[in-house]
Amino acid sequence: MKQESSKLQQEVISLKNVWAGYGNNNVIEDVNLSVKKTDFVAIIGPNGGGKTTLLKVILGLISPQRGEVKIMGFPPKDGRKFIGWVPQETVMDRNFPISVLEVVLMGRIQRENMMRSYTKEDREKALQALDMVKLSNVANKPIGEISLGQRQRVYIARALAKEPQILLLDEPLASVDPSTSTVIYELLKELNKTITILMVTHDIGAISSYVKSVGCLNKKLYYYEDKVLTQEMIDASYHCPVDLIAHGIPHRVLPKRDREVKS
Amino acid sequence: MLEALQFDFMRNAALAGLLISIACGVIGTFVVTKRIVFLSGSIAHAAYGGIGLGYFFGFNPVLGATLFSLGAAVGMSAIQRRSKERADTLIGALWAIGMAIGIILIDLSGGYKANLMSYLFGSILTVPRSDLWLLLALDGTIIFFVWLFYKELVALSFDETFSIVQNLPIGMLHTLLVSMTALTVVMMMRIVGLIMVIALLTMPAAISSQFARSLKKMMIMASFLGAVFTLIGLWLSYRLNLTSGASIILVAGFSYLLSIAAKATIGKS
Repeated sequence: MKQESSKLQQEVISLKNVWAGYGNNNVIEDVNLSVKKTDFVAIIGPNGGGKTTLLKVILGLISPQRGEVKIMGFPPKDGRKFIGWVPQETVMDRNFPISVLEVVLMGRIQRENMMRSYTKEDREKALQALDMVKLSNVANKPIGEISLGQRQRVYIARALAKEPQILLLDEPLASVDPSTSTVIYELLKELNKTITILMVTHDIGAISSYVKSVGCLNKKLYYYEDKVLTQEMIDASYHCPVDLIAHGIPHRVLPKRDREVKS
Repeated sequence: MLEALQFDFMRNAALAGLLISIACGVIGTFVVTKRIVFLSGSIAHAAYGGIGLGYFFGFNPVLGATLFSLGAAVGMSAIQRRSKERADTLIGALWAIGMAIGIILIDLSGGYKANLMSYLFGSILTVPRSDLWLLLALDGTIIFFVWLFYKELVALSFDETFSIVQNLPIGMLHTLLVSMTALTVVMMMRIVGLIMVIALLTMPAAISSQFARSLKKMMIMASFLGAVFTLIGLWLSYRLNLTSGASIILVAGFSYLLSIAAKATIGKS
């Protein structure tokens, strides 16, 4: 931790007193979050706790009712050009007639290169990204014919083809088997050497040793820049801690009882 | 078939069928993959309001339908993008309102209305030569825009949220797509009638989506299938003296059901 703070720590995502929701209904309240360069942040929380809303606010898909959001110092609509966005695999159309490579190439699209076809460089970057997620061998397969875990990695590759500063992942491990989730975590860990990562997940088991800091979101965000996830945080963000323990919380994240008392 | 083509009107009908199949295959592919079938149906029926307007004010009903459907397209595209929750209800309401306006205006205009049925059920056999040029222009326009914005339209259809994050002008692209759909729908109205437009727009694309491996191939396959269905339907209607629009739709419909069955059988084995 000390080594990292000695580096120049540029703030890449900043939320200050952010309130957001639909109509009069606040989904997130007074959220403060500061993500520094090469952080690896996981936000956990129950379904309906506001994780999706938080992501939408960061991506500039909805405007906060109050507060300020900055991405690399810019408002979200400008700052999102630095973000590689990895959606939930489950919301995608598997029957869409498109090859893996074509999906990854989409990461190269920007407003500036509209009305042009993909360049040689675009193809090279896309293939590089596919290589990084170890899927070069399925580049020409239809997206619907590869496995769930592979598809999840394709969306990571698409985000990487953009050469982003920040990776934003929505439930990257939803319905992925444990061995695949290890592959994805190893990949994220490798990427995290240069790229800042923020992911949300409802599965507390997903918080592994790879993550550098954890926040709990249930309307309010309980965020500490330590990896220590206290029982207090979990209790505050979930209403049923027993259920969570049944999920199996990795011991490295949860502090021991005596440490909790001290903090 | 060859004997049928001796007739001028049959030649025109066959040509019209071929030309519309191209627009249909290209746009139908987007309609199916972007899942705007309902929206397209709404545009087709709202176009009837334009036909009524044409009758009432005494100008060409096709022009009225074009303007009305373009207006409906722009409006509905905006509705669908802004209000996610109730979008389908609103689009459904516009569907009926457009149609009702058309019926009332036609009631009020009086006079000779023999042509009216041809808009509802199509009349490919009476397509004039001038319409063929119009269809050719439509094909040219659609192919040009789809070529120009191909990768953006694919991205929009595949993952709209991602396209927004990439800062693409989603509003413009969506409106462009829906407007092209509106123009296609109006031209197809001449062939199969507005009631059956959606079937011919979606079934060839739906069949090809089960086999094609890219959007481009899906468009080509859908255009080809559309042409085959139109020609077979036309020939059946000539031989058996049946309504041409309905014959075309039934050929397409049976093929669609067969393709689903075939796909299911292949999938099992």
